[in-house]
Amino acid sequence: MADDELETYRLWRIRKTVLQMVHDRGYLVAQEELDQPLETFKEVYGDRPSERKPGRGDLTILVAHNDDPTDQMFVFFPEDTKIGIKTIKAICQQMQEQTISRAIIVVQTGMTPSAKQSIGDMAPKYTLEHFLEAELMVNITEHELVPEHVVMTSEEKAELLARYKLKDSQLPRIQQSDPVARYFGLRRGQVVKIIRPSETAGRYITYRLVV
Amino acid sequence: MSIPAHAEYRRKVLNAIETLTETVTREQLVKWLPYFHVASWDELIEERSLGNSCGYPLCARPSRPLQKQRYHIDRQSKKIYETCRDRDKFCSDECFDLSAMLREQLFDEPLWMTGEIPERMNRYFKVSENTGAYMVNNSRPIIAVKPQRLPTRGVEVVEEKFVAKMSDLRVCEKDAGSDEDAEEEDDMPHVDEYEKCPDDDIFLDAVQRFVTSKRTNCLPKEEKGESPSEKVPPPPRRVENEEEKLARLRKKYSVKDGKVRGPPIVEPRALIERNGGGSTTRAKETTKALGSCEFEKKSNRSVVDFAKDVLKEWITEECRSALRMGCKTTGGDVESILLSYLSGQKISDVDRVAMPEVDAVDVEKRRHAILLQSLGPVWQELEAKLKISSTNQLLARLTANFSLNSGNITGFSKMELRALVISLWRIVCHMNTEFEDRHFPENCPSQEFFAIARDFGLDMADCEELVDFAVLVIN
Repeated sequence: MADDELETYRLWRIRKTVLQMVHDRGYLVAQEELDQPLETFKEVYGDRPSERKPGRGDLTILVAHNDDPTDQMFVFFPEDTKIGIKTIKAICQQMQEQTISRAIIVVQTGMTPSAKQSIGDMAPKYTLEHFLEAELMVNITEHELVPEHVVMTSEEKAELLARYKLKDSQLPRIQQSDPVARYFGLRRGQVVKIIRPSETAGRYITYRLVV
Repeated sequence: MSIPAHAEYRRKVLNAIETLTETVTREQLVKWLPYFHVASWDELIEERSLGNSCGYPLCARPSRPLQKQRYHIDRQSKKIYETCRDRDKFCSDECFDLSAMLREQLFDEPLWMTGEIPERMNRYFKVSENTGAYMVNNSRPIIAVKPQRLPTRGVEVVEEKFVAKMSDLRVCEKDAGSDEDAEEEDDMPHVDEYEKCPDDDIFLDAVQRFVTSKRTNCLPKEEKGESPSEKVPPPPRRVENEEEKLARLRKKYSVKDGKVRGPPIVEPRALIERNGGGSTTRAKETTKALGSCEFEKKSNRSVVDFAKDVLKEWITEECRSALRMGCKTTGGDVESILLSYLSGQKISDVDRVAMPEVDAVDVEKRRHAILLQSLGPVWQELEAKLKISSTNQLLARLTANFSLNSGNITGFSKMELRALVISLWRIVCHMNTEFEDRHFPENCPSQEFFAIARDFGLDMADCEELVDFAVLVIN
């Protein structure tokens, strides 16, 4: 079926982007998974999404951080087209059981305002990020107009501020809701190093503080 | 308001939504209601419907399946209706209405704008208890009924049904005016031309009464002064009014409906009583007597008795008073009204209306004719024997005042007829002094009359008894 074909393709693209995103954030993802072609995806998960082969639940990913294996992150693909509080609660429960504090929710069409608010309320304890499927069809960081972003660690940030004798509020800013900031899951107070090509200087580096 | 407080209130609202996402009891609902405002209530409904439960927090049934069809095209009225998405978030239209009722009562401002002011927290919310069957605190098992979706209810735009009805009604009026029995719908264009004249208020009243009794063919026609395009020959208004009254009375006095009353005369009550009371039994007796007569080879005795009975039945107080007046032809309505006025009697509505002939026959007249027909041959025989003629008029006038019913107008045997005719002749003579002097000098039958009676098969004693009884009965 054409619909199935398209849906499978979509799922494969989404999963691929998610894996790249998770990899860019520093989580451990096998290289063959990153390079997985559509055929392999079909073999592994099936090619009949309309018959729940794969169902979205099958795509759930659990990854561990490169540096700290206890820092794990979930990627959920809820079946519901629109996410309400109930789904968020269910996800939270699963995170609690496995003592995992970070998760990404891949949403099909949207979220209710109260669901968003409940995510916000859990913010310090559980970090839940949500992306629309449509947003994950392409990896925005691979676009030619998107410069290279590098997330700085707290040590690097401290060194930067010391070198230029700055307070962090004196840095240029980037919004937390910025697509790239969301891609990297940046939090308030973090700094990104943006390296863009320059005709005069060869390459130009700016630093942005996430607000 | 400080930012932390603001956030705190937001959290409370969220908490309220989260709580009510699960189906709750009525008490809980009332407790949480102050935290809601209109928008958050909508959010709650959304949340509940995402959880596949009915949007009304007291209802535990699942919401109905989402409709695929978004638009509904009505070809006849050439309109496109959008199906109401909100309704699909509820199990039924009842729950939708209940939720809408609550939504009306909620605050417009969110909690974080007003804070927990007493006015808000102590506000009384009217929560309907109608959902009893589906409430959670009801221990009955909740049956997940697959809700039947009525196609018409989902549509938001409602046709102006009421207006349409009114115009229909108006068309009907026209129909009745133009044609008595036309009940089908017809062309509408007259409706617009119609202008209401003061007469119509009365008319509409009448129509309302008629619509309830469903007697559309009796509609009065009072729309004389309207559109000239319609060639309605205006029927006499008075007659229509009477018919209208009649219909009302029929409804009112439906019990007496079957019986037909005579024209309004001075003493209608006695008449009614007689009609209503003994007539049937009397009729039976008559036929019984009749039968016995035929079987026993009719002794004169029984014939005389029978004649007496019949006479008694015929001649009532009314007839007697008419006789006293000389049996003039009645003076019609005017006289009867005058008489009843003079007698100080209250005229009831029933009498005021000239009753139309049931089955197009005046029963009273008809009975009279039948009586005359049955008496006719014997009467002519008598006339021939007495060598007089044209007394039919007198007989007719006399019998017109008799109280007649189906049992005492026909079916007499010859002997009985003869006995009756002799008695009637006595009464007729009472009305006419000339005849009286000739045949009944000093109240006794003449020899000539006795001879005739003998020819009729009645001896002198019988004849005398009949004549005497006749005199007795009329006085």
